[in-house]
Amino acid sequence: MATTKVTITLDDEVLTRVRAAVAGGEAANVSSYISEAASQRVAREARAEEIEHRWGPFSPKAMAWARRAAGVTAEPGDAAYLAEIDAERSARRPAASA
Amino acid sequence: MTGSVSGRVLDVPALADAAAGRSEYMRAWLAVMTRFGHAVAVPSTVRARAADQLASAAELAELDWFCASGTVLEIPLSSADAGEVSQLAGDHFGGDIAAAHAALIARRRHWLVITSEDRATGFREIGLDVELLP
Repeated sequence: MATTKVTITLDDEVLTRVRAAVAGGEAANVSSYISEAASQRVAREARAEEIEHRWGPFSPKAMAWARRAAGVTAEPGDAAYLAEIDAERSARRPAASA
Repeated sequence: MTGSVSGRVLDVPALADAAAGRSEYMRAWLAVMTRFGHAVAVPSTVRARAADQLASAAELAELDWFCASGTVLEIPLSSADAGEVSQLAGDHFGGDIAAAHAALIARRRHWLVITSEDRATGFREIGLDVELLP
């Protein structure tokens, strides 16, 4: 596979851990480590796009719930959709007997 | 207890919903979990129960596709865990082995369980966090 040399900037703490991993034999060098990490992310995103292509597109409301259930950062507008979902669930509950 | 962001455990209603496409929520969720590299634990007993609830070969094919996702980790019920699962099932889940298996995995990994409201009580009784299906 063709490769291209690029310049990147890393957080010092991250770089320290990457170098430790290389020193520990987990990767041949820093480039190899970073390249592997980037490849894994590219593969994940390709798989997510495959899911979206098969089953999507998903509504903003579904995505808001999906983000909460996955524990990832909410996007603007999610709170309103989540309040709507919670209200709908409450409305479906049978009324408590007196 | 706070659930880790690194993974989630599916109970039967969540997996069946995803396979049958009863709503778009679980399928959207799998896309998000995959994009962020989080793990999805599917107990083998949960998969078997979900398959029992599916009505068509097409839905079963979707279940297989879901479980073949690189994000999904299917976890068998080992003979070593059978006793503990049976005990959990009897004590908290009305004898439901699949729910108890999901609970055991969630407890060990400190992961949240995704289930329906009518099945949440047992998980909460043993201190697990749950996310309810919409």
